[in-house]
Amino acid sequence: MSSLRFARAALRARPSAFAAPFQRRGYAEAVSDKLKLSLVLPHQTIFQSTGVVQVNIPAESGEMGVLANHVPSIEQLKPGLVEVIEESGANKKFFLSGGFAVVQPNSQLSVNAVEGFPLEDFSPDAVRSQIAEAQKIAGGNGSEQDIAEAKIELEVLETLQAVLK
Amino acid sequence: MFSRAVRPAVRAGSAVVTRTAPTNAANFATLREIEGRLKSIKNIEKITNTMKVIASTRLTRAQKAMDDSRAYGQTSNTVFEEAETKPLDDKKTLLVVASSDKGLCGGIHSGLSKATRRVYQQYPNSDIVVLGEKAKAQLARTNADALVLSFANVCKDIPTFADAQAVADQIALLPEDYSSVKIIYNHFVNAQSYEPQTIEAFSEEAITQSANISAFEVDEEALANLRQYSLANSLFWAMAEGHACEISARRNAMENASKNAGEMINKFQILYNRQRQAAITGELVEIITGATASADM
Amino acid sequence: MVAAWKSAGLTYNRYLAVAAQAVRRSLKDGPRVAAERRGVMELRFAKWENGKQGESKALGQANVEAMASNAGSK
Repeated sequence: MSSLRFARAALRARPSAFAAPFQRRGYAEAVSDKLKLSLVLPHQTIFQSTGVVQVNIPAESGEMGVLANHVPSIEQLKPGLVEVIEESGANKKFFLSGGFAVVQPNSQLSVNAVEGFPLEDFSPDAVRSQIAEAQKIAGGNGSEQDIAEAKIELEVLETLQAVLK
Repeated sequence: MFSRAVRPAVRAGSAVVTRTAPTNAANFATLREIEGRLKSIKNIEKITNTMKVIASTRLTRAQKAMDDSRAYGQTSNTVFEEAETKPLDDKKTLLVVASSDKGLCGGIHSGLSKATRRVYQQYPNSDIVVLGEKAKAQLARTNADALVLSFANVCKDIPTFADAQAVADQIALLPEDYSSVKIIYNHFVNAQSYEPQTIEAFSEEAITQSANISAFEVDEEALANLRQYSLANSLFWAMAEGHACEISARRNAMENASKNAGEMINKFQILYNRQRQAAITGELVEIITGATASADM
Repeated sequence: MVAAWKSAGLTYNRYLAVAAQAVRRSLKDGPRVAAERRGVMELRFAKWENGKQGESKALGQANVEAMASNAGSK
């Protein structure tokens, strides 16, 4: 089981600079080279079946670059940066708080997240003060649940702080 | 010349006399009653009209939230379509009813309760979770033994995803292992109509047994999390769409109520005028009768 | 390998909610106001048994207590 996961991670862990399709299924019929992306939040639709070139997602199993014809898979997302490379060549970045990404069998990528914002919407000061707060609680004498929640916040905030630099 | 003007008045007066023989005091009392009625109905019309305007303003926001929640919920459920997931029925079914606490919205809640009872007949011995005091009251009358959880303060305004997640967490705590969770909500057809529909929130077993799940690479632990997340996603969609239906139905109900009030106001206004004229006529008859009698003397 | 939050009894939805809240609080003042409203959850609930409604409780608090009692069991 775990060897399969390692193999998968190796296959998928390519730098985002490469746009070369790595995995291609041998379909007889012509396959579209576009990936159809739906990136949705409960209160906002960021992309709705939009044709894009590549989407990089922070999966729990490792950073993934998804192109058309990627192997279907269900991925739990870590809080982190999602990068969308559009057909125009434009590169859009969003920090997502967490959720799931599903590569469907037909070059369709569905991403559901709870919160997501472009990087310019964030305040590094707010991140810094929250980290200080969370570190206090994580190292304190509160309940096991309070400490666990502080650690979740730290995971999110430290990732966010790193991408904001 | 006096007698000619008097004749139609006398005729009308005698007609009044033959009908009810009211005294003038009674006439004025009736007038006051009608006045009172008119005042109340005008107040009601003001209130229902205000509520209609408020509902209209809220409807735009509620519809936008519904559209976003639909895109969100449908995207979340795409994987189950692709995997060809089917609800199992080997164990108990859980019905979740997405209603609210507020009334004056036409048949929103009763429609949901009726639909729930129908589904319950298909899956007898199901457990029921109800969101909202209105449907709770109705279902408690007919299916109290099936209720396991009820939630209040739901959908006062546009529901938040946090609401849906909190409900999902309580559902996850239920001791029973359900083979199927069916969320019953009002689907928005158009501004004039809605209809109860069901969203299926699959159990973990149903997901792992999906016909086409092998097409997907997936971590087992991730599947358990996916199940909880999808439940919250579908709940959120049902709550947001149900909320939009409710605002729309309230707008329509208040509009009808205002129209009815308006018609009643017209009717009572006509009645008031007739009564006022009858009262004046009655007075005239008395004066003229008295005058004629003293003239005859 | 079990996630740390899971051993503390937290549910996946709770994990997501905490992460979402941290993201909302990291926003600049402009987008933050609308975002923070999405974190509001003031529901009340009651358990039912044998056709009778139990005590009405605050949902947030009840969920936290349930997670505390589930800690370590998973």
